[in-house]
Amino acid sequence: MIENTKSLDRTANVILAVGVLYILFPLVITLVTATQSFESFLQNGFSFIPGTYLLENIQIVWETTQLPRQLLNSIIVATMVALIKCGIAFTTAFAIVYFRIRYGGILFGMVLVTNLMPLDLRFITTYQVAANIMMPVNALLDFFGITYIVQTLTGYRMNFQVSVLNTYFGLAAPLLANGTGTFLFRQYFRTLPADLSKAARMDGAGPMRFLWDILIPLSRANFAALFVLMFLGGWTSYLWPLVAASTPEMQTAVVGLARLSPGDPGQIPHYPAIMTGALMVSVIPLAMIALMQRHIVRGLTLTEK
Amino acid sequence: MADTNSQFNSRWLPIALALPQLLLIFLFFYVPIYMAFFWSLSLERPFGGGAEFVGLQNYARVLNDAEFWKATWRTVVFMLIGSSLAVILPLILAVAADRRVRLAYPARNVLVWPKAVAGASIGVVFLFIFNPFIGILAPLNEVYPGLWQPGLDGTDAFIMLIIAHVWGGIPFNFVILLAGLQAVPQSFHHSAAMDGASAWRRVRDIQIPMVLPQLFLVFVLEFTESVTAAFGLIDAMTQGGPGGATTLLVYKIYVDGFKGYDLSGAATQSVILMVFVLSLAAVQFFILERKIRYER
Amino acid sequence: MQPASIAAEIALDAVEKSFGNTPVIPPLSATLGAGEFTVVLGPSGCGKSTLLNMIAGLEPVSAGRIRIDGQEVQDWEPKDRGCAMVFQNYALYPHMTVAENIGYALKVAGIARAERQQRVEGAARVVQLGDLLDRRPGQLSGGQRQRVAIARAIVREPRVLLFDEPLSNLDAKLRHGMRMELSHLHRRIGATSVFVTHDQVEAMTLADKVLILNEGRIEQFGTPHEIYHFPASLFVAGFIGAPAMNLIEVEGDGTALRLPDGTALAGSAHRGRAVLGIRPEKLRIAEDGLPATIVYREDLGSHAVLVVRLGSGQEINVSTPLGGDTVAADQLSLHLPEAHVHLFDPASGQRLNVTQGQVR
Repeated sequence: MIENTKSLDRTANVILAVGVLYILFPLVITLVTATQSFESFLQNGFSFIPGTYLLENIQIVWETTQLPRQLLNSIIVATMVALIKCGIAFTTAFAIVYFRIRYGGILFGMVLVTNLMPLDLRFITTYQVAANIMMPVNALLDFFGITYIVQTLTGYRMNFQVSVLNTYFGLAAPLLANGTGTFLFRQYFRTLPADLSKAARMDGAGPMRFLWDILIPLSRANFAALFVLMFLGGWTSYLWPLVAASTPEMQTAVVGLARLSPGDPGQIPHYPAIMTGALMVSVIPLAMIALMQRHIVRGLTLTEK
Repeated sequence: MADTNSQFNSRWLPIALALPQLLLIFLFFYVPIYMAFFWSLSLERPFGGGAEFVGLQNYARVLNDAEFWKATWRTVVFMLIGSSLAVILPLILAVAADRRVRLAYPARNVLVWPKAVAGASIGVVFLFIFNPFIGILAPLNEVYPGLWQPGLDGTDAFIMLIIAHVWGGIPFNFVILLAGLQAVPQSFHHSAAMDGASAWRRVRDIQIPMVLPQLFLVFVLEFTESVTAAFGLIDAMTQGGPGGATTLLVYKIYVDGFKGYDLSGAATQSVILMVFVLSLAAVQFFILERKIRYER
Repeated sequence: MQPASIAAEIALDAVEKSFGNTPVIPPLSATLGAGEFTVVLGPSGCGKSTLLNMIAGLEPVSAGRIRIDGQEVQDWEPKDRGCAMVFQNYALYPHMTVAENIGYALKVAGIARAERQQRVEGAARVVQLGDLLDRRPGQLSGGQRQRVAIARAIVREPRVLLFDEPLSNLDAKLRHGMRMELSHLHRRIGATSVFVTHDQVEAMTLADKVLILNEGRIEQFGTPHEIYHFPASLFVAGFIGAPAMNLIEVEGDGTALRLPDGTALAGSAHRGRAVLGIRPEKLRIAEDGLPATIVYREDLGSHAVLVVRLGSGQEINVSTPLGGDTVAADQLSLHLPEAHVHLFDPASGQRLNVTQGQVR
């Protein structure tokens, strides 16, 4: 269009510049401070000029804190969350869309409702479940009188105890108790031509063959989007890992960072080292965002439709 | 008619396929929610040892607690200010980034970055930035001593929380709103331009009304999010202080449950918070959504 | 590919389909001859695709039996029925090459790579796809995709070939070409073919037999010639032919069929109310016939279609050779040859007369 939109375009540029600065400012501060030595930091305070002490600071964090171990925990937990979610969300959506299941609608509704109630609202009792995941089994046995019968007959009181607290599974599992990916895949499957599964059936492919040969290859982009999103979600979650892991060795990096106090406990905290820690905690997910921008945008727009 | 997808015939296979997800949801979603309701009606001993049914006593206790009402009030204030900023700012940015200007592309990239940074992590960074002695506002304090004291002044701490919260809320809301703007057909712009509407005017008359559905969506999600997402920020920045000024409900539940071992009280407050979030979503869905559905 | 020997007869025996409590197809019986090309024709929603899916095994029957080559197959899986299908939107696997698409059924069946390749190339040759085997569906034109879909169907040498409106996504020119090719293909491989469409031109040109379906019921099952010249019901009469057959409500007094105002249209021994049908091209322009006023004229090059109004106010279509005496006139008079008059019962829609003198 031939139109003079200069004033609007100039305003747009200014707005975007302010927005970008707002986002970048804390990140730049983190980076710059992480390159300062503690001594020069104490002397000059806040600075915008990069120093040369990044490696030394990394060394301090690496040797005097639990962060390296906690970074490993984060990688394990986030990868577990992302991989398992991709698997179970995909198979659940497949079951809902491509099979005639009785009460399929109710089932999907029960999965969908989970998105209204984030984990952080129900962590108190989720903690109790994680402390003994056999609790529902015990309750059922109790309810049907089986516990009583067995106790009368054998004298043994059935009370199963399995705690998943302080385990990787326990850190990951409650983060998987939602319908996010299921919804994403269901929406995607419904955009595929209905004749595709018919053609596969005519070609002699059963459900698993169809899933493996056709649906999975076609869903690659959706897997990537969901993987990135769930990985970031697992990595950045805070409240659950905080309560589910009671020892520093099992805590995730984000939780560890909030409790980071490297070096000697003094008057002024060792901010260069803390900022180095913040950098170390954020570098993997940031790299992921930078490399997989497309998938993240796609994932964000797909999950919430 | 039935779903047009030709459906495979098997009784047990779909159940087996859905079972892992359903089991996880049952165990870590439905059981905890059921338990929260159950506990809110009974007195739990912190280290096991049985429960006693007490009716609505827990609710009476919680609702008579002034601290509960203060935390609720702070939650509502945080929700209203924090969410509004976390939606309006991304909306302005999205409208700007929807134009073909030089900064549009880099901005679209950079504005998504906070998605990679945990609330607690950026909380640590902002805490440093806003440190009254060595932070960015330290010079201010040298001129006017005591002007900026997030460690002592509740309002300052609250402002700090909101700035950090909005920072983390930008990516999602920005992406959704930008996608909504980009879905507005070019022909609308053209016909509005033919009708004599200037570019500025079109922002108001065409673009904003056309993204109302997305705007509604991000508001609903942002409200829910703000109730809980603040936890990481609070724990990393203020631990609820100073003097409880930043103790939102979700943080109070954590403290009551895990520091005070008042499981019944924490469960009761959880139930109240859940009901609050659910009714918020319900109100928004049933009242607001009807008015902003367009047929395309 | 061996012709004819693999073709199989399809017998539908009181086949029924309902979704929930909604009946889609009431009990339906028909026998589709071995090696014949049957076109199932009907408006959208008449149940023709459902019928096809039931033959294929993609939809279970609610009741009744389907026999292919004498074997009851209604409970069999699609792959065991020896059917192959060409879909409306082709339903090619977008992530596979043309060769992989064609060969997928063979791969699932566990056929060795060498034989697979040979048969894929064979099928590709039949539909002239030879040099496109390494492409993906996204890189092909509509017509080429259509060929891939056909090759995928014939590669298994099926006893029955099913087509679900396969030409509806092609433009008019391509459609004509594909009709011709499908016709040749059928003669070449000889499998029993069932072709679902709502396009009467496809039905008339491709079919050995046409099965006209309306609301799940068979209106008529016959050769294209029978369907056109002896429509068994008002529905068929109105559905087949373009421009459509003129349908006029008349009253018979034993000697002639008359309009409500008493004008005699044609001689007939019929008594009582009836619907008279006559095709626009069978109307003759005569010196001393029925007077009519020309309301609208469409010159189509090869012929002209006139909309004329009779004295009673009824408007009908007349198809005439171009030029002639009608070019300038705005009045003409019409003659309805008795041999081309169809009579239908106004209540049941069933045909009443056996028209004599029509060439079979």
